[in-house]
Amino acid sequence: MTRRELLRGIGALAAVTAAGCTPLKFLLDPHPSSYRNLPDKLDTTLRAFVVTIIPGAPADDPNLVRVYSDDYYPFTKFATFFANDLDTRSRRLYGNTVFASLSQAQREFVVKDGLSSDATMVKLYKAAIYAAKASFYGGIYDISKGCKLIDFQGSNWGFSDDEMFYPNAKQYFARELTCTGNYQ
Amino acid sequence: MKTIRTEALVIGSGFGAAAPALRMAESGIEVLMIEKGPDIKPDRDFKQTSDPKYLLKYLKSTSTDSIGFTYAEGLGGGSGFYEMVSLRAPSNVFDLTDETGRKYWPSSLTRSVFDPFYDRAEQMVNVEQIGDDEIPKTGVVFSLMMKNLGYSCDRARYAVKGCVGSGFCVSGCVFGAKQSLHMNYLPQATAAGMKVLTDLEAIRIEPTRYEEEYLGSSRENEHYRYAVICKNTVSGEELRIVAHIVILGGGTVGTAKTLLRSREQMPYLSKHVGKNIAFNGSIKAAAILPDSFIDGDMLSGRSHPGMISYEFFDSHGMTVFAVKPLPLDVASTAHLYYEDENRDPKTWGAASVEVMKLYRRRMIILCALGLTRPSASFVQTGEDTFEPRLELSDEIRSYYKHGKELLHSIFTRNGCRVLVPQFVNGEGTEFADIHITTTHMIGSCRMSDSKKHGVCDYNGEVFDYPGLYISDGAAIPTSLAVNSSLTILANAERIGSHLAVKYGRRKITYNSNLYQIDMAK
Repeated sequence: MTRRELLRGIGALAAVTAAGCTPLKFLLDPHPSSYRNLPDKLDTTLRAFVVTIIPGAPADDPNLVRVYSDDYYPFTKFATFFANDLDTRSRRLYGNTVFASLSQAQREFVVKDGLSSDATMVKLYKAAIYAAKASFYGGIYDISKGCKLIDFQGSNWGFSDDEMFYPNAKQYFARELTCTGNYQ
Repeated sequence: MKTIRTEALVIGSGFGAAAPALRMAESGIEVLMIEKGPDIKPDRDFKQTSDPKYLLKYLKSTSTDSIGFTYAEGLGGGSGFYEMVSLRAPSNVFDLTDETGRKYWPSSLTRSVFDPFYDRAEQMVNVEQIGDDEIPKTGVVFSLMMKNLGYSCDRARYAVKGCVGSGFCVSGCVFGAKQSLHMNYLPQATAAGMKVLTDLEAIRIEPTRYEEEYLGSSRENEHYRYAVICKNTVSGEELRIVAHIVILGGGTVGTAKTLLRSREQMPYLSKHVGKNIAFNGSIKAAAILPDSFIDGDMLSGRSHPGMISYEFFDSHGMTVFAVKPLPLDVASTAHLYYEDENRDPKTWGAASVEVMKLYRRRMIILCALGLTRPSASFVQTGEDTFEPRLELSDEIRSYYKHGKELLHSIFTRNGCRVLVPQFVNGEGTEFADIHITTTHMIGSCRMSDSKKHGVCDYNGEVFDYPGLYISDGAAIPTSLAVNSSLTILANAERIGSHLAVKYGRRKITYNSNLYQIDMAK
């Protein structure tokens, strides 16, 4: 690497860091040692995060945090960093207690703390919240189950007339402007 | 590079491509259709799912801060994934004018010219007005809301037969009820001799004057021939297709891309390629029904609630209808929270869950489509990179402000509690300003009376490039204020009939403004 290339590289990194106050550690090591090779710990923390975002989501749902380890989605490579950040904030705010051991209210406070930090971390937290909601409510990993919390039945063979329609629905209809449904 | 020769090449396989392909094949023209996306057999490939891996295999999007386009890539184009709403554009649409008073549409194109082609398109895809007893509950709720305010509401029209109401229309109907192009145009065209190649993208078009490249019969006044350079989207292999007639039917995005990449080889193309995109001014608003109201149901019944109101078309240039998004669509599009919500956080946690628990039966989402000017564009930013652009003018801001106020007024006067839809991008970050997402983008290569104002003429023929036609949404010059699929299909039928008359070998008769092909000849 030439001196010019080195300077350009450092300059680019500095620009990113300055623009987003990005923790350099995040850029250099997205897999902190506290979570490396500890999939159960990661799973526990991420489950605690999802039930914080969606109170009432079943913590033992096998697909609850699958979106964070699915290589199809870019968040995967930041999952361990994110979980570590949750713990770091928890320890700072609640006396050395990890995120998964906090109460719902305390966990909410930790997530709010993440959402009020620097631009890059805010983006990471928002992405994590987005993934949790889309994955859980959408039932993306098991459409046959849907999402019971919001009464989403998932895949089906159609509904009965009673489920789909009102008998004598016409009583609720507004007047029609057209004879065919097409406006002239 | 391997070369294939054909008399007519149709690029694309959706609403804008299938009709000309069928009409040409029926009239004895040798037709080859190419489709960028994968082959689709409804009974083999469609699924009831919300898995983005499946959906994004076929549904693509391109987006910038102010506007995003969503479209389909796969055999049959958007016909496999749309909500089946099939409405004619109101007559006034064809008379829309620009700031100088010039008509956007070619001067002789009116609704009455379109009507026979609407008729034919409707027959082909089995469009019928929904029956009184088939309106999904959410549609009934919407109609009741309009009735309470003294407004009108009409039963809409759909391309469907034997709907079981599973609610998964947009991931592809697994019951074969949706009358997508796989059920009509495509098999009929294939039976008439059309060949189809999928996973093949038209990269650029090169006009050629080499007569030996053309194997068909000699014709007068037909000097231009076209070589279309294609790329296999799976193998990367390039292929050259030489044709006498080329039909651009790859959609507003696809056709603009192909022509923008061809500028060097086609220096006489109109400067309007990629410009003047109309986007049907889609405005969405959500609310929770008051306790006194009957339940809706976002999940049972067809994906579209069955009702549309033309009440505000003459006064506001807008139509209004309810929508029934699946949970994934709601969760991945916007954070919903009460306008008067005081709790923090609003967009996640208990407050958010409370709203989502009401989603199925107590939430109502209204959408307005309107006659916004064709002011978006599709720009080439690199060798093979493109992006949509829209300047949020005062006119657009005013349209969105008034449209939102109209929808909120419908909610509040019915006693609803209004929700804020905080729209987010694919990373979950809120858009800072108005962000328009649409599947109704049309007009990137609009037809016009002259090259000064458009890319192709009344018949879809590209100015200064005889034998090169645009038959898809790219040619439609204005917003329609209703779903665009039927108008695109009717226009494609109109252009297809012209092609059959002009180039076909079988005798064509003209009857009641509609070209009739005499198959006996």
